[in-house]
Amino acid sequence: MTRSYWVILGIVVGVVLTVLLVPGIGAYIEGKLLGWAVGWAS
Amino acid sequence: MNDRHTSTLFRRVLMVVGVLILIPLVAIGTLAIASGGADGPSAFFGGGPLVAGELVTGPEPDWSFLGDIGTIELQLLDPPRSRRIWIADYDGKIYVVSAYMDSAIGLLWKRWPAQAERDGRAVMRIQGKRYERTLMRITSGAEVLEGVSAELGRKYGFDGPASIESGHAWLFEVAPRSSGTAGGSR
Repeated sequence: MTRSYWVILGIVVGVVLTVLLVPGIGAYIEGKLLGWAVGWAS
Repeated sequence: MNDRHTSTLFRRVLMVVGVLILIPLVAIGTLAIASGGADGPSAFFGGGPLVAGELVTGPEPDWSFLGDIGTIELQLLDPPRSRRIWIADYDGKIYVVSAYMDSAIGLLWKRWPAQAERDGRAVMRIQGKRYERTLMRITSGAEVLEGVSAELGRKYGFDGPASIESGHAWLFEVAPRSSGTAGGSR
């Protein structure tokens, strides 16, 4: 694979691990999504 | 030489933009997949079957405490997925509602109402207790629509019975499983 693919793969793995393992990240993202959805719906 | 430099620069800009789009997509996708197998929904994403909690049987409880409850967890048996949902009690019975059902986005976003109309068997969890239920869609009945709409309006700013009659919002009675109903509408 080229260097670019490795960079993308590394970012994907990094984001997945961060979301799953860092406390509060998931709740923060869901809070943002909820705020966006409520804003869109109202 | 100059063209090659421009092409390289363009590819790098494309890659940065792609990565900036990729990061939130991967984060949201990860959360959605992780929530899918969980015991109950999270704040935004649906979840798996409701497993934990005492299963309440016997006579119907006094549902008046639902006036202070914002959302409940509701799971259909088929498919066995759960979500958070508004709830209202009226005249000793309980009701759930799904809005935006007359828009393409609503129909894509909310599949559970159509699934519940096909097979209304459900489990709900309120304050850690589970109740086996059957969802029955309500489309008519002026008194019920008025009463439930008023309670939904008090709690959530819901429009009124016209939105149910027009099909914008789908209203379901959440009846005891033993009542013999198995989905459908009336």
